[in-house]
Amino acid sequence: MKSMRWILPGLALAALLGNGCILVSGQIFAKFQLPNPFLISSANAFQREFVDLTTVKEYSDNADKLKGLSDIAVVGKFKNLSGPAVSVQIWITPGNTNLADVNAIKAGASLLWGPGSIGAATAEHDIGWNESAKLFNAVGKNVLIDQVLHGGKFTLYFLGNASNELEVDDGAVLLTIDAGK
Amino acid sequence: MNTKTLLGALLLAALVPGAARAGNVGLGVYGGGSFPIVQEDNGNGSVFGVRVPVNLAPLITLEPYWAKTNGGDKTQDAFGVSYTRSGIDNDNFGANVLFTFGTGLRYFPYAGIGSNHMTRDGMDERKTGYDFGMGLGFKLPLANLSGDVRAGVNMVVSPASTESSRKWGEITVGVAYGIYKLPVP
Repeated sequence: MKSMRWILPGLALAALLGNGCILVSGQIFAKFQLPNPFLISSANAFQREFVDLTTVKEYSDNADKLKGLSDIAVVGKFKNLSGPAVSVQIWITPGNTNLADVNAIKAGASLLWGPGSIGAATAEHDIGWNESAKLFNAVGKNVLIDQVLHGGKFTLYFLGNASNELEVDDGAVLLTIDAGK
Repeated sequence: MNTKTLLGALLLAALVPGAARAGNVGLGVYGGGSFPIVQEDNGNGSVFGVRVPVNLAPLITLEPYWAKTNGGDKTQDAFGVSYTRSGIDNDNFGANVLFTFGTGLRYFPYAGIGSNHMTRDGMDERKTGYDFGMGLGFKLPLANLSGDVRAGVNMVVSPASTESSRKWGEITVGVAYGIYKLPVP
């Protein structure tokens, strides 16, 4: 009976260690800075930003230990410089792409995030970590997860409206990556 | 070993010796601190819960539990701007098996399995968790009342990957009241 008291916790621990070694893992915060500021111009109603996570130390340090993406946010101070209230969306493609216009983006990319609403000019909307995390679309998020796990390079398209001139200050992509042995 | 096998092994360990000798049923409450381990998007919080220790054998106790963890906010800096993420709240229930050593002042390693419902803005996930740790138990100077202090780890399969987990260290203090003595055959 006494030996059983040690054997069973040992068995439990062995089961845990055998389960993909989930014991040795963690959630690592990483951040990617977008150009500061950048504009979503009324001229073409979108802005393209290429993201290369291999330039992010926390990502590259854990590149061989990546297991998943726990949390994601696109943050920044969105300013409506001119025009009526507007909704912003973010679309994503794998790799480095250069889609020509909004129609090409909606046909060739996946909706990742949004809509995030901004009031009429000259309204500002500070989109933080919590608010942003709620705005993700499952289809685009799956594309993002796949890119994070396989190379870390993707292109984001920020879509506004042809009636608006938008500025984004302190824009960043916040990631919490699952890393383990 | 999968989750069902582990649960079966733990239940078997508790119940087979119980056939030889009956014991007591109690009701306990506990609370303490919860500390995320290598979770850079989740802060320190608190945990409280209810336990039902069923001492089916002299040395082994099966203990169903329900617990609520309130995760603390976490703030991170990104290029000169501070961003705060709300902590993960976790409603969980399951069962532990305690392996008791000593009399009077008792110490007991324990291990168990549970279902965890983790929520915060943008997260609503149910995942299996495992917990293990060490406890110190003692009688209180009141009839049928005992206390314990535990230090353990709650490890929940990550919603992001079955190959990783979210882990919390927990330090708790609890009291339990013996509410029913099972008849000895």
